[in-house]
Amino acid sequence: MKINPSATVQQVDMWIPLEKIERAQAVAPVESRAQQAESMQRRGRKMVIAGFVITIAGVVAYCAATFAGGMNVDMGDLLFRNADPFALSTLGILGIGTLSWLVGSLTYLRGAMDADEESSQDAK
Amino acid sequence: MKAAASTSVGRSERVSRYVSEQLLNMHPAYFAMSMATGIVSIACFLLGLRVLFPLLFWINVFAYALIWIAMIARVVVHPKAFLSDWTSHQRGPGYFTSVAATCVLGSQFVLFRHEPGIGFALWGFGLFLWAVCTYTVFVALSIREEKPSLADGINGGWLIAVVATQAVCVLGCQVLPDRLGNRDAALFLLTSFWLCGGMLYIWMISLIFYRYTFFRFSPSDLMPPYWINMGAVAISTLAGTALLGATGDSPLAASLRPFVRGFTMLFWATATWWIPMLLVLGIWRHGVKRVPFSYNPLYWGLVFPFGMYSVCTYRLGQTLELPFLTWLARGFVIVAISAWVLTFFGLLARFLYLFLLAARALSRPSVASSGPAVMHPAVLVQASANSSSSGGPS
Repeated sequence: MKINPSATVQQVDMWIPLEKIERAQAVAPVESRAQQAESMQRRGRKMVIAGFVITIAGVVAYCAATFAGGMNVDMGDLLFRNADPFALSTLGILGIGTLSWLVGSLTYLRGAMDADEESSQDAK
Repeated sequence: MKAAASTSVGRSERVSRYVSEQLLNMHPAYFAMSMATGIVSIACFLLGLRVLFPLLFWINVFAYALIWIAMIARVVVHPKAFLSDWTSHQRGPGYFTSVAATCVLGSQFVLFRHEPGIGFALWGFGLFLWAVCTYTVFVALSIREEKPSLADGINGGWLIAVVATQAVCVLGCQVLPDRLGNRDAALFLLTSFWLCGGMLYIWMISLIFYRYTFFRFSPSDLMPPYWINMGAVAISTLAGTALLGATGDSPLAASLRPFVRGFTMLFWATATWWIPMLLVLGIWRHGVKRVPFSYNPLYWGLVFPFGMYSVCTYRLGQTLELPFLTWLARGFVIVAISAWVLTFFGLLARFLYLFLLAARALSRPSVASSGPAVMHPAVLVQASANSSSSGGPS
């Protein structure tokens, strides 16, 4: 690796204030935290919307299955006696949707709170 | 040691301040959540959705108790706000939701748990609340010196008074004739309630329709309680079918039967007429005028009419022996459950927010003190808990 001697001299001569370096070092992680918060919000939003859609699809499927089959089984029959596997699977869809919404909401809210903290710290 | 003690005091102060603010802003119509959950649960029961109705029943029992606790705490902590709501044209009629929620819960106990005793006790309590609300809210609104204009004062929430009156009639039909001893007297009283409710609807809907068509109407005016325009006639239909079912061999009821049947049909037709109208207005509000969805306790006032329409249509189909109406009831129960889920998620998101805020306040007291205002994606979180600001349409 060849080094240009004049450039090296120039760099050595250049004086950078210590405060500027410290500020630059401090800004870098803040930016990454803000980006992280933003990405959490994006991810959370996607999961929330997916959760909504899946839950409603589960509701519609469960109702349609019940109305079509004249199904008259309660939760105990479904869970412990496996009375109607299709109805159980529609309830599974409902559960997955709810879980996705829950995780998405938590992720989104955490990201939004982080972002808010960052912006309030920047304002200070 | 001293520092730790002062931090602990600071945290508890923040928590108590937050709770106090929430109580101050609590909307009197919060019982609409219990009404909506109860009626969706009854719709599920009638239409054979046996997995959902017990779940919704227990959620309703819990919610009903919790809302009463919050309401009593509000009376104790903020008596002025409580009384000021009582005389408010926008918020006062919201107190009628307590009557309807009590009667819907009573119906659930009678239908699901076969507990007519609890049903009767709740009917008595509902009747008491109805009398208190009717003869204090309307008197207070009448004698108030400074009154808003019609455009500012009236909103769909006023029709909760009709819902409350008809709810007393519906539960009464389930528990009163067998308990009172005199079936004619019971049916006379309940028919009077039904007719009073119908009369109130005609008065109020005339004013609301007048406000719709002759005053400036902005998207923000079309709040969810406007769906009660439909819900109030739907519960009137249900009350009519309940009366027809409770008549037995009563000579009074037999003579009134054709009249009750005719008016029940009239109420159902009116409820059905409202649905496309409210849908189109909703599309105009959210689709054309781009008003975003955000969680508001008043959205429970939208869930209730869907559930009630499903129940009343099913009961009307049974009473008039028209099985094709069951299909309509089934369609609306799906809509009602979906609307319930979305609104419940909105409420849950608010609790999640509070939970996260509290967790951060405990771990980093200085950071969480300001309480960042976070908006939930897509729909349904208004983290700043500003239910008070939306006291119905202006």
